[in-house]
Amino acid sequence: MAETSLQSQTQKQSGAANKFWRSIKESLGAWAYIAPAGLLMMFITFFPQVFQAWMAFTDYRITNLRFNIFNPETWEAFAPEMVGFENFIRVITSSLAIENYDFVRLLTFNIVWTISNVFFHVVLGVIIALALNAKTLYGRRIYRAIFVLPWAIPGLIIAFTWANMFDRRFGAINQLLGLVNEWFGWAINTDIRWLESAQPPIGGILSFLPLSFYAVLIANIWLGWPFMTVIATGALQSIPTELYEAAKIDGASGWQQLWKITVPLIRPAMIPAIMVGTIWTFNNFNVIYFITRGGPFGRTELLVTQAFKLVYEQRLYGVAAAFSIVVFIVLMILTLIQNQVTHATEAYYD
Amino acid sequence: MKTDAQMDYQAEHNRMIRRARLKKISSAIFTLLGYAVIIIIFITPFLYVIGNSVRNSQQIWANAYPISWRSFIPYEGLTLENYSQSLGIGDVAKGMSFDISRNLGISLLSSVAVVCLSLIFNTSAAYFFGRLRFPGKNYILIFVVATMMIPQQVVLVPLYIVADQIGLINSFWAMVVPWYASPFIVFLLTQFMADLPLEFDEAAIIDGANLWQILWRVVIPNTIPGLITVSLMEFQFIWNEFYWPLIAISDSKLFPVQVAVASQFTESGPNWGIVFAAMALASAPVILLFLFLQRYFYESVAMSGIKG
Repeated sequence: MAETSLQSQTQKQSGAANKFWRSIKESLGAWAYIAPAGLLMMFITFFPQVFQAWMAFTDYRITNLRFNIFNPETWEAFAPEMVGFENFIRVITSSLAIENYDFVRLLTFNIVWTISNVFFHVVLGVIIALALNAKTLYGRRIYRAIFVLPWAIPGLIIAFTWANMFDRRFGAINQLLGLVNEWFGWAINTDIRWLESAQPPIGGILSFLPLSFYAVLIANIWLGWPFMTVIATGALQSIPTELYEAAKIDGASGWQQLWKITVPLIRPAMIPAIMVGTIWTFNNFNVIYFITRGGPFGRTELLVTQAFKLVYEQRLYGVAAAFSIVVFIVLMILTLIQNQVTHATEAYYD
Repeated sequence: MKTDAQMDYQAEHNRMIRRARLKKISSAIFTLLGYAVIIIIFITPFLYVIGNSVRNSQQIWANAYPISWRSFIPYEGLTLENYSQSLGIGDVAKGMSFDISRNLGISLLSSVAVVCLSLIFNTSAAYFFGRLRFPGKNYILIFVVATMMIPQQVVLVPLYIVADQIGLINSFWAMVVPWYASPFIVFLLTQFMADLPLEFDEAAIIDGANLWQILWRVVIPNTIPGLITVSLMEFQFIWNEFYWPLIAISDSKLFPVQVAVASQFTESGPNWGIVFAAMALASAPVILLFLFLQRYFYESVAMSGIKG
């Protein structure tokens, strides 16, 4: 009895295997469609990551650039030395021989930067979307066209324009403050060194943030809210007006309508936008690199700009690889936390 | 002959209509004011760039300090000289490093090349994932989606080394080859194709079409909006890309336009008029594309919500 069932099982297995091979044979034609893109992705996306993992454990430097995996003759002479976890330890304990490098400060700053930016983007974006969400959107085409600008204009150019505006003597911001002084007879300081001052404007717990943090925050809020407004406007227009009418009949105030109808109904559209926005802001290279250059004294450095400097200025490829892996792990944890929070709040609303 | 009550009623009615109309007008004014404020705050920095790109350096300095509406809106002595110098037309520009016409050409060529190659390779890969039957296909798709999550900046070091070893560094192809097959674009196109009913394919098979014919006659004609959307995203990505060419290209003759503009900020102080003109030129193509293809652009914004 047991034997026969075993037999039938093996028969079934070989049958399944046959079927598998037959379906492979039948789908050979399909391979032709994936192969070109697949090969390149293996080479450009997958292989560099494996290579990076290996590099992170070596002391890869500028002299090792002559090392070529595809040419065995270079293996002996130029192969970097294995150093185990040393790179990771040096990255995390901040024992790199680089000016102003402090991993904990970098990470803290990056997180504070991300949270404060995304918060203002969402709040401002939704408020503006609500304010502009009239039944008949006057000049809707113009308004939509204008909101396209932050995506369309290269980040580099936007950043340069803002760096220019924060200039101490000739920048528009200090000069505008001067005009305000003139009009209202106030006495605001018009000689603010927006990007250079190392003096924190707010003491106490926020004293690790120099004035330039607030300057780039303003620039990046300006840059980031239209994305949230576009998403929120789309979501707002799909809310049926009957809901508000019913709420009005039930005597709900405007504030109650906002929190009981508007917010829950635009949430599904906003959550993915917030997640994308978080990743973008976390890795926002252009704004920091071109406005503050990480200064003063590296206090506005992000993980990404630091990674760039490790490669481009210090040329410590092994350390940079380890640093990148650490950044990747941080990003993964961030995404996981975000997913958890999203699921938790979803459950709360359901 | 109306009674007093009727008269009262009529008056009350008129008053209500008037009040409603007033409310409507005031809310319209409020909305318009809101727009105006937002547009002014939003567009001023761009006006500054455009306004200064049609003035000579002397005029820029004269108007920039002290600040007034004149700093933003040019009103006299307009000149297109900055643009012609920027594009290398005329004698003055010769021999100076202001000429970005070559860089514009390189940016345009590399963006168009990536878009075309991507249309061929990513479309066929998406066709594989979205329409064809293959055992274990979903596992491969999960792998593709996983690679999509890794931020570009994090893999630049090994990408540089790999590109160096196959001889791409400091060549035009460094800006094309790494980007033509993008997991993100494959994923988006797969979504677009999955929306198409499978019955279309079955009907084509009954009519005796092979896979290639189905792709060309059935799938592609029905996913044209999706293809335009991803092409737009890809063009913008390559055109505005700064980080990778900065690392990969060191020969100034091969700089794409973004890197060329950045390199005009020299130690000795940039020639502002020309820099502003170069900035306007470097932004113009994508802005124009976006304005003409706005509908697809908004689709791409909605789509980018999937990435994350």
